[in-house]
Amino acid sequence: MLTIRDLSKTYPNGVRALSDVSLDIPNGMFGLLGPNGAGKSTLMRTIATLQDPDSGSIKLGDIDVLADKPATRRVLGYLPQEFGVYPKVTAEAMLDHFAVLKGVTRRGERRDLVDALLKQVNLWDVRKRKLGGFSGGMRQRFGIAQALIGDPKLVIVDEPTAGLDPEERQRFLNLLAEIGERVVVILSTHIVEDVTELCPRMAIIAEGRVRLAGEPRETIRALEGRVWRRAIDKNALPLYRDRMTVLSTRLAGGATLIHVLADAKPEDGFESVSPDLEDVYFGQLHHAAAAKKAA
Amino acid sequence: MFSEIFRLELRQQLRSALFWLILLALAALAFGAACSDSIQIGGGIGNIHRNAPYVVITMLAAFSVIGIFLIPIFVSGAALRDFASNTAELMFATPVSRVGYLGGRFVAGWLVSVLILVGVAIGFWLGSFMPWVDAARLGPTPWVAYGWALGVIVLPNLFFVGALLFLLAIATRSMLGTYVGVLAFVVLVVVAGLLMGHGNISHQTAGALMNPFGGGVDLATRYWTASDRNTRVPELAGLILGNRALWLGISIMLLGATLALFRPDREGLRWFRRRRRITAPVEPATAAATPIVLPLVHLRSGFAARFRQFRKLAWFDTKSVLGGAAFLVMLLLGLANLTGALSFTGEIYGTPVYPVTHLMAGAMDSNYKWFLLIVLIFYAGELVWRERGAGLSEVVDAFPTPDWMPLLAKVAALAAVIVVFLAVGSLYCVGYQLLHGFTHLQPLLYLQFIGLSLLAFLLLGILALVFQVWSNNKFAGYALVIGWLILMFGLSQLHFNDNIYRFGSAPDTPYSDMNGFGSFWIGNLWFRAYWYCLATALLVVAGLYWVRGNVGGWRARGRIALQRFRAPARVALALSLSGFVAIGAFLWHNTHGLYRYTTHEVQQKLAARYEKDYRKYMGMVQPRITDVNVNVAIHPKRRAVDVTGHYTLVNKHDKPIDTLLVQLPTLDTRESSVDLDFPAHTATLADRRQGFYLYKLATPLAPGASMPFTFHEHVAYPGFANEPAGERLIHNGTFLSSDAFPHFCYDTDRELKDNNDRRKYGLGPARLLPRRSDLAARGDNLVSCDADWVHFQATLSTSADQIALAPGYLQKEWVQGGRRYFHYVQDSPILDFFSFQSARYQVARSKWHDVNLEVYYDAGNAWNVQRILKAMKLSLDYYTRNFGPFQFRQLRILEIPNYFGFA
Repeated sequence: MLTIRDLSKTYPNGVRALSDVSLDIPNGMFGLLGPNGAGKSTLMRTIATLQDPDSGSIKLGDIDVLADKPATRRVLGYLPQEFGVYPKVTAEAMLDHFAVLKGVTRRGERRDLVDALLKQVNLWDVRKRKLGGFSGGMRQRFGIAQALIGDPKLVIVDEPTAGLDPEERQRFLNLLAEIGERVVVILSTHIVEDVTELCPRMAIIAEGRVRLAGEPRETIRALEGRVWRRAIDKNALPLYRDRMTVLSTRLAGGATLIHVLADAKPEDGFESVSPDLEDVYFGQLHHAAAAKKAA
Repeated sequence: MFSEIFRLELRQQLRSALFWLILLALAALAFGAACSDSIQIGGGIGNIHRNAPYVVITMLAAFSVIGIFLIPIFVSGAALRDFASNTAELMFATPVSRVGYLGGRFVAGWLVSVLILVGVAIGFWLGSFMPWVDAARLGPTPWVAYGWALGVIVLPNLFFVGALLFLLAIATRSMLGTYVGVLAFVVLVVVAGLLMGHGNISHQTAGALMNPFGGGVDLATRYWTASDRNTRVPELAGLILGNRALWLGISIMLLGATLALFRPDREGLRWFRRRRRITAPVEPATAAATPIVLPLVHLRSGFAARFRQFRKLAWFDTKSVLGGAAFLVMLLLGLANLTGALSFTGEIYGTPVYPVTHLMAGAMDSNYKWFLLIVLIFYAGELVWRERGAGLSEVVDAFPTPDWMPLLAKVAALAAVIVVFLAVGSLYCVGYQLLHGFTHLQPLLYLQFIGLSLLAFLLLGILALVFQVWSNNKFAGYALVIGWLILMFGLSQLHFNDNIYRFGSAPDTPYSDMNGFGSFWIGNLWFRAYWYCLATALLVVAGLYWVRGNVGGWRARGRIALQRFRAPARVALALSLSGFVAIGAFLWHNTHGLYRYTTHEVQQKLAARYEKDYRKYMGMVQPRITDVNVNVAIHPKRRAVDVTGHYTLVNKHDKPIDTLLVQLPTLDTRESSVDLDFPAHTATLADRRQGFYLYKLATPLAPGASMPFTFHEHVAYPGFANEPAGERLIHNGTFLSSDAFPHFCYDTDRELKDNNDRRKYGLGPARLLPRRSDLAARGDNLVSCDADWVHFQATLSTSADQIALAPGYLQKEWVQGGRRYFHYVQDSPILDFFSFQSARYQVARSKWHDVNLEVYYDAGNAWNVQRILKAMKLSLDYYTRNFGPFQFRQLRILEIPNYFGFA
């Protein structure tokens, strides 16, 4: 169980990345959904001991994450949003190196672990190949392999599926789900489907604030009967924006399809649709934007 | 099209702060060279005017050489601009022509470099007008020389370097590749310089042509008198013209090659087009059928685990350097440069010598090791930024390794790199020795040289790392190191040479095969210990500020540093700083307590004072030494000597002498004393600092009368000084001379010689040698001012394992109290100049008619003993036949350690 209380962080340039973030994250996959620049990565890095907040606290079971970084690091597996590799080093050698840094200093133990990890992330056949020649998906799987060294209690993966093709993405998420049965896994993403498919629990974060936290199904249920769809003329979009809460627009077959949030049918031509997480997400972002405008 | 590109490029260059910074810095340097004594460029010394044509030409030539490190910024910067700013694809998609594009860029870059040199010329010109410049040292402004230097030297030099670098930049599309080119070019110049300067005349023409910076000038002006240098400009003919034409031709060819090789596309020129493409990533169709169970592992954090982690990290960093292109390039360039140096090590003034190990080490010192400097500075930046550069920092920073570990691993990696670099050079030298059939290898000596160099270079490496960590900006880190090197250079130019405040510096460790490193390594290692204490403290602080995770800004770093400043860091800092202070006190006791540390300025002042106060006593009528009987007790282990000497002084003049002038030696070591004992007298002048004394004799010494004069002298070299001191009194190979005995005349050797120094201290021009008609001067022989021929005998004692020698025939040799005694008597009168040797000598004897021939040599240096004996015989044959009979019954040749530039 990871407990985050009142976490705030303002960067020197005035950007308020986190404000009063409080979350309770149990074992299992936890989805952190938010647009670019919402503060997801700041939150992830702070949990991963790489950054100090201005105020607030983080507890992982008995460990005070902010005060006892070494203890946190021993149970942490972290895959940052962007990470590079030494292009001339082989996957096996690099993973071996990381395992030593993690504390697996017995050679025999380490060899077995590296072998198993490479097999688990399906890189066994290319273990002798240099990392510079890896595709984005292979690299991402290598990243998850290093995050799994030493049986971590807390796994943090920051936007892991960006840049992966659908097949790779699926395989990657399956792998995460498997791990998530036993430990806390925090998955940050701006792709709504990632969360819908995998995460029993989730939070939406925007402008540094937690807009919503809960189970995806429940949050969707809250919108039941309130999401309406209509095909409109492209030029009429600003009019709709002014009058209604437009959640999303999509071009479909030459027409513009909009989703609108409303307690009752806004006007003729709209039809009710069953909401999905994307509607929830856009709804929250809309709120956040409105709140900012009001302030 | 050309003019558009040219104007754009020129505007960009002139707007860059770097251009003005460099221009101002170099112009200031030239300004200083023209108006101060601290900066010497161009050779405006002695009678040569500060602004002589010769000085202007050499100065501008020198700056055009310095320029080769700056030109890459402008010329290669111009070539690489579009690639660096990612505008290349935009640019190449326009219909710009090759000639227009390249030409515009090149001419602009070249012109900017020329402007820098024009700035230098202006700085120098302005400097010569400064009011404090001694007008006597200025000539008329040499406009012709300025024009000549710019036209004949600067423009073509910059044109050549520019063309070379432009080609390299276009071909490699990398700044690193270009800098490698700079280095290759420096090697070329150094080799040419060696060819020119090595005294072997047959290489001079080749050397003059090979030097791309107008080598012929040096040859043409080498024998110019001061007056020539003050008035003339070299003719543009002969080797100078040939050299200029040759390099201009080569430059044009380089530009042609650039034009041919330039490819306006994304790929650029690829020397090795990769044929074997990496096979497309294989994606196994299905994931593993059965779930893999990860084995249970233990995460350890004990001492052994920490050590393994540290070793792994250090090795990982070391491997990255050793496999790095820049390292390999530097290594190869260093070896190439070393090869050039070694090929000259084989001879001294055309005489072949054995490639002994210390000569190899000397070649490495002067022609190999400074590449290591570049390696260290460069890779200190690379290593500190390695994880962040590769985008891996967030991964590794989240691992449970302690905060201090990465930095310390990088220190270890640099140490390993130094060792590898020096070991490769040493092995290369061993190969050279074997190739020349020289099998007397001294692996242990190589190891000692490597060890001493490692200690010196690692300090620089640590400093470079610390600068990188503190500045937290790679280029600021580089700038700090280079600024620091310049500061150190400036300090030594200004004669601030006390090792106590020059980070990393230590006394030299002169080596001789006879005496090894003697006791000189002691001071060296103490100073290193001192600086390693400070380096440790710096590392501790750098470790506190080590950036881990996403930390920006000094305030955040300071907060984290404070958090990290717990017991272990405090203890480490306290220990290292107290070690630094304690050792510093000990060093001070040695270099300032046991020895006199005299700055250059104080030395000069003393010399000027000496001349002003005492020159009036020159030629004062004094008695002459006629008999010398000395007892010299040498203690090689303690590096001490006790001398008891008895002179007989005779008044050879026709007037009585009532005042005795005594000049005693002034040594750097404070453990030196002289007690005098002679007939009743009172001191009328006693200057201890200068060793100058006047004694009024109670009874004047009548003409023809004689008096005894006895002295007890004690000299020892305990501990160590700021620079190696007492090279004449050492463990094996002591070589004392009678210079350090009392003498009875004003010592003209102590006077300042350089006219500019003399003027500064208000002394007249240096005196020329006396005229042949000067009878007073003719009263003295070459070596002494207070004696003619003397009778000499000496009793020497030394440690039991050594032989002590003095002039004269050995009368008796005995052992007493564990010491060996020798009594020598010279039965015919000799000049008043003696030396006393003591060493673990081997003796080879032979005879030439009645003359005993003896060679005293060190057991390790038996190389040429038989040849020397043979040469002695042949020489005696020749000299007696052609000059006259040999007046002695013995001829001895003795080996001395090679600490001296003579014998």
